[in-house]
Amino acid sequence: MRRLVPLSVICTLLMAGVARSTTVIPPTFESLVSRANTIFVGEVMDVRAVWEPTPQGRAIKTYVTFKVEEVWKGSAGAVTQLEFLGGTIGGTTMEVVGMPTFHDGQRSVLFVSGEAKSVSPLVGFWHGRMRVERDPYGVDRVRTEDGRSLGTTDQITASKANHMALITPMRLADLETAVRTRVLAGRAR
Amino acid sequence: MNARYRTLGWLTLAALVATASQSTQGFATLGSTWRRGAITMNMQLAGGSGLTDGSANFNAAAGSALAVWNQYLNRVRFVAVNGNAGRGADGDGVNQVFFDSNYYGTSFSPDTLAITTRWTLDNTQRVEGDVVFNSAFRWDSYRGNVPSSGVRDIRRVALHEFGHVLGLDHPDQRGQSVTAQMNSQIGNLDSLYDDDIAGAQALYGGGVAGNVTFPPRNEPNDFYNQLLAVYQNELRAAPSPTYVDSEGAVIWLTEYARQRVGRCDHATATENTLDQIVNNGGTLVCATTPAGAIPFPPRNEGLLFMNQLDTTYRDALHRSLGSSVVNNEGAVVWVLEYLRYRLNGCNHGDATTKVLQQIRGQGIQPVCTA
Repeated sequence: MRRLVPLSVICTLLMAGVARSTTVIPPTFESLVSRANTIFVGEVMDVRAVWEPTPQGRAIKTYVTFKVEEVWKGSAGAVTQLEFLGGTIGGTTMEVVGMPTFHDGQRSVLFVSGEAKSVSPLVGFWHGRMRVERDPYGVDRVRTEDGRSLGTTDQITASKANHMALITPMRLADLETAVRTRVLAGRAR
Repeated sequence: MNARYRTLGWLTLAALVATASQSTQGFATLGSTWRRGAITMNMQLAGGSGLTDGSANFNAAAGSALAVWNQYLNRVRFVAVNGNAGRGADGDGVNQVFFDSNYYGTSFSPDTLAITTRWTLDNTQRVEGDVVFNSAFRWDSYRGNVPSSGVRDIRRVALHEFGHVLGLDHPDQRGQSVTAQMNSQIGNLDSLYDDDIAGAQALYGGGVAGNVTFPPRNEPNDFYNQLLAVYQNELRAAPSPTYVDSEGAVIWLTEYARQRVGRCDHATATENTLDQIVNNGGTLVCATTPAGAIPFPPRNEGLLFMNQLDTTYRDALHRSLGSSVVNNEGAVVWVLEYLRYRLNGCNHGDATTKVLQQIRGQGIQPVCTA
């Protein structure tokens, strides 16, 4: 897979597309899983922005390096890097509106697209990134990219924030079960 | 659980609900804004004949979205410039709007309708914003619900994307639950809503079009020419130095007055008027003028404005020093007085006569309203 590689073959990432879009038709949970080549849980180890030439000028790209904890679908190295369009270098910022930002130590579930040279490395842009947070009892729980509590997988593409504000976020383990079940169902077809 | 704890539980729940409710009002911004003045958008959308809403082409349809935003902007305004259809360039400081099958060399994912990029200096100063529409979709320009055919409405997507260009984010991704074009999911909403407008006005100042009709320019100009004649021939006034020509004095004093009548305070009216001179800024006023007698600013504030206008002509427009037999104070006093008569029921001839009567020592004449 071109979009998700160990650091040892990082050069191939230069072939990959990046970024997150602004107006996106939200995917269902089923399509999120089926369209992902790789689904993994990872912790951000490094975030680095660089200038890169484009066919029409130049752009800032941000490379986010993850320590991979678990792989739920496909394959990924122990250390994996994704490339996102946009970022900040010095006083200049190039932002693709809505693109998720990452910080060292953040844990996420990432649904990585298999589309070659796609503009985003994630399925459904922000829908393809879920935040993992550990609750006071030591249980890992899942929120959407924009921080909403995720009660069930049906709520992944819900746009209304408030009715989900008081929901206890689903457990990471439950999301894993749902994803793996979905992956198996897809293979059985 | 005893009654005391049950009560506490309900109170806690009520507090949580109240907290959630409080967060239902409000927009979301991206943290940087454009400099005052025009935001030029190069419209490079190809094609678009036979659009459902009658727009001449896609450039016109998307351009109408710019015009919709302009109704609510004061310190900035979009200016649409039709360019050659086709791909633009990123990071070149030029704002471009176009169709493409890929985004500057990388393909759109199949669920992406459009992308907006924002270039910012020092985290605050916007310098570029490109909008690229995915040419893989079928586009039209229409109102109402999205049809089952899935044909996309370029106008509403443009409204959304241009909101990003201004600096607005998705409120529903910032804990808000509001009706807004700027929510992350484009659906059946085809216009701007209060939350969108409030967000734009928080970034660039609010305003309304103004509900008081001012006289056409030629009439205050004619009054001013008569005023010059009276100062020269009857008052034998000596020329006073000024950087502002006669026409400029009339136009911008009138605009300052229009801003004041539109409920702007002196500082805001001055800022808005000078912004029009220097930055080609918007012409909105602060609020609707209430029914009844039209309020006018005190003379001292008018004179303060006139002095700043003089400075602006010298420093920003680099005008050379000239002279006028009507000094700045005279210009302020009599132009504002002329406008006061005009806005309170007098026609051009009556207003001119009443002002000149005052100058000739015949006392303050009544306005023309009953």
